[in-house]
Amino acid sequence: MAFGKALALSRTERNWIIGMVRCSNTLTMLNGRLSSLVIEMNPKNWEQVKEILDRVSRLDPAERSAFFDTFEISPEIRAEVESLLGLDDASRDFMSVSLTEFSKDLVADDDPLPALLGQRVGNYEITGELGMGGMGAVYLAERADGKFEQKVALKMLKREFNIGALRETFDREKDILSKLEHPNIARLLDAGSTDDGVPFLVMEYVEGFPVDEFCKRENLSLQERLKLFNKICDAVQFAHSNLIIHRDLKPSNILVNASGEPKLLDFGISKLLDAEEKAQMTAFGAMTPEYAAPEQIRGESVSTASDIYSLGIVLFKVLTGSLPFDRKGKTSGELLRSIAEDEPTAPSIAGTNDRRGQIPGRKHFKSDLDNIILKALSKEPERRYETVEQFSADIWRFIDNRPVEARPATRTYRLSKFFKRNKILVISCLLVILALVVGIAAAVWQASVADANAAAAIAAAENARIEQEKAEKVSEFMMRMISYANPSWYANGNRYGGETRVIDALNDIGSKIDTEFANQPDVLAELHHQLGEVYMTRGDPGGSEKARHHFQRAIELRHSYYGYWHELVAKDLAYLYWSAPRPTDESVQMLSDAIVMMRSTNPQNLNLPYMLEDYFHNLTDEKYSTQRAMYLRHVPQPAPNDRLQAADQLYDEMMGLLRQHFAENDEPIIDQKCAGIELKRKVNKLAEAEALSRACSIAKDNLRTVKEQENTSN
Amino acid sequence: MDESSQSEITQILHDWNSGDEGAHERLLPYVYDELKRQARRLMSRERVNHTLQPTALVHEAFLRLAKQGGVDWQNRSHFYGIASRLMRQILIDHARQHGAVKRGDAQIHLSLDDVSVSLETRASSILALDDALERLAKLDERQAKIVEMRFFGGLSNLEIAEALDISERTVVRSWSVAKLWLYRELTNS
Repeated sequence: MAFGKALALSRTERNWIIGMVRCSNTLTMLNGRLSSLVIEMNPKNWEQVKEILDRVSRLDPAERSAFFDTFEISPEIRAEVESLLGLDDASRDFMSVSLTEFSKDLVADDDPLPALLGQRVGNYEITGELGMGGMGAVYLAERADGKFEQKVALKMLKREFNIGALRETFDREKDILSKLEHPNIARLLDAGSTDDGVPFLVMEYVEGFPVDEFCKRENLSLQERLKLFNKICDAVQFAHSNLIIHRDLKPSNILVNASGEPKLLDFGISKLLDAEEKAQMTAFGAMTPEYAAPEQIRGESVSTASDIYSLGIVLFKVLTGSLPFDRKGKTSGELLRSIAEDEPTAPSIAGTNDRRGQIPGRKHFKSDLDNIILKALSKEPERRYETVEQFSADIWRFIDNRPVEARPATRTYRLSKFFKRNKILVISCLLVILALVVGIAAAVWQASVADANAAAAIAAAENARIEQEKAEKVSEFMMRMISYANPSWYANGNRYGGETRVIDALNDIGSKIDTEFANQPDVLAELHHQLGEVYMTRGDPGGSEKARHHFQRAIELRHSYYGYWHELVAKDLAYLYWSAPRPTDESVQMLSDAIVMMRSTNPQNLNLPYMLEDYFHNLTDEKYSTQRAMYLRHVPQPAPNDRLQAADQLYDEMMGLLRQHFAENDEPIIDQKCAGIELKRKVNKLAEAEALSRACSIAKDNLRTVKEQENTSN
Repeated sequence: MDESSQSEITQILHDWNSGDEGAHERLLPYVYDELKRQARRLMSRERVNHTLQPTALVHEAFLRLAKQGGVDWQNRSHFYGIASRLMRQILIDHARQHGAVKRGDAQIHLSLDDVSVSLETRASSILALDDALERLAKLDERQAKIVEMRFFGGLSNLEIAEALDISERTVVRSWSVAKLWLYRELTNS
């Protein structure tokens, strides 16, 4: 109000203001309100007291009196104002420094926790302390009424936090726990509040160790660990089926008791979902970063998929003794960024620095178990297992030696079948060499069947000479590579295990070939390509970048040697696409170019069907929905407008090509039959879908029988 | 402060910055610990003279938490408001622990000269003030909030104005009236 703001310093101004007010509307309103005052102070008349007090505080007594008369201020308000004004001098020093300043000794000599030991809470007597959290504490307690002997965990909110949202969080945990009766979830036994209203929960006391520690102590085998983990999955699945997300799954919340039963604890930040919000909810935040899903870190919506992610980390920890995203040497910010962005280390190569947490037989769990865990750890929730049940089922498949569903991406999975990873250096080298030798043999053969006319004969002789030179160079190089396998190569203090040796050797080869084969660009290109494949399928950290580097080098070299339009260029392009972490506009264009190039240069090339597979797969898949338009743009055919029609066309083309290489019962054909069912249904080719589905299930049964027989014969 | 609570703070601060209204309540436990830590540290400093600076507890607590969080902090004023509330709770709690009792004839000891008065007496005054402030809040919540921020939180008028989104002038006026009212409440009882 202008009036208040102008409260003047000079007498003239004050008089002027009083004059103004006399005839203002404000006055009339104020006056009306004041005359209806009740005696006791309430928020409404307190407003007026404040206003008047402010106006009259600088007036002298005579002016004040005039003010009250003029505005016909009620006696009650007037008395109140004058009473307060009378204190002006006396209270000058009152609260003149902030309270903390002269009461800090009060705060300083404190013991933050009132001694609760021995005290009785409800029917329980506190006998010890189990843990302290930010907002509360968990105590060990026993029945005090002596009815029966029972140790319990008593969780209490700190008295000063018994307010608002914190209280609600606490109450929510009670609601959630009361819904969860499961052998692997710590039970809620009782709840109540203390005399002064502080709420507490009485829960089953689990005497045991965090799951990772338990596995280490008991030195459990791989199988035992996996079976234990599956029990944990059961408990989480049970919570999910009750529409509850735990949101803070980590070893310290999963205790294993002496009889080996895991128990899930601490639903403190879990979320009870309404049926409608089952799919998603807003992130709540208070979680443990190392075990939190990227969407939790980013503060996006959290779903059951977030628990699946955390379970993935727990399994990672249980199997390797380490974490995929380590906080060592990182600031909190860096750790969070890393979780949100970086690809996790493959479990099979994790924790090489700390062998204590590792389990016997760990080396054998490479590909399949890697795939299972990495699927659970996908950045995008929709790429993870849809349910904990599916996650757990895949682990059972692994335990039973059946084919698992998890595959990181079709391409890598497929390629790993072609290039079984090898622990022995020589085999890794031989992979490179084999390809070269095959290449050379083909060239020599081509030379020998060349026309026998004179000119051609000279050319052939020349070719043969070049090939001879090449072969010598290659065999020389081969010898040196094999020497990497010689332990003495590492004699100078190298302490790394076999895994690291391979990578060292590969890096060494990679850095040397450019000079060694400077005069044989075709060999050099192939070497780069092969190295790229090895890096790509090994899955070392940074491997995909190295792979891309080698593929790019291969492409450059082949461009200048063979030109731009060549089968091998198409192959390199496809691999460059496959080695990229995710498709981009450019890489889709590249794959599209590669497909066109391969079709026209050598449709028999075994890579072609797999290139088509990627393309149709991505066209079909929901998770590429945002990129569909992009893919459709590049469908390298007179394209139907509908993406599914386009995908279907590519699928048929792929199957046709695969049949030229494989028999009906071969795995690649069967795999693709299984993969095509959904698509055929979507494009309404129901009969075809039915046929594929039948073929798929028969083949899978057969495969299972074969594997079971293998197992029993072992 | 251990590492896990540190990263939890980071997360909460992030949430808060991105508009999660519930975040500040989850921050309370940490602010609480931090304030207590600061208070202890302040106490251990040797007092070289009797000139008392307006307390920097809340500021320091804020700076430390924000720095640990490593975030670009937007909600400074919001934080101050909460920290003040916590300081009040902390002090009241401790006053109770120090055996303070509410006395009908309580002399008030809440001014500059009272720093030397015994702990117990001061504690009683604090409890009495807390009660009076509760009563004031029933009359005028904002006014009580201003007292809380200034007296318990040690914040400046400008900071309070920003936190409550009102003019500095309003803060000054509310403060001086509240002071009178509280003084009367405490001396008349």
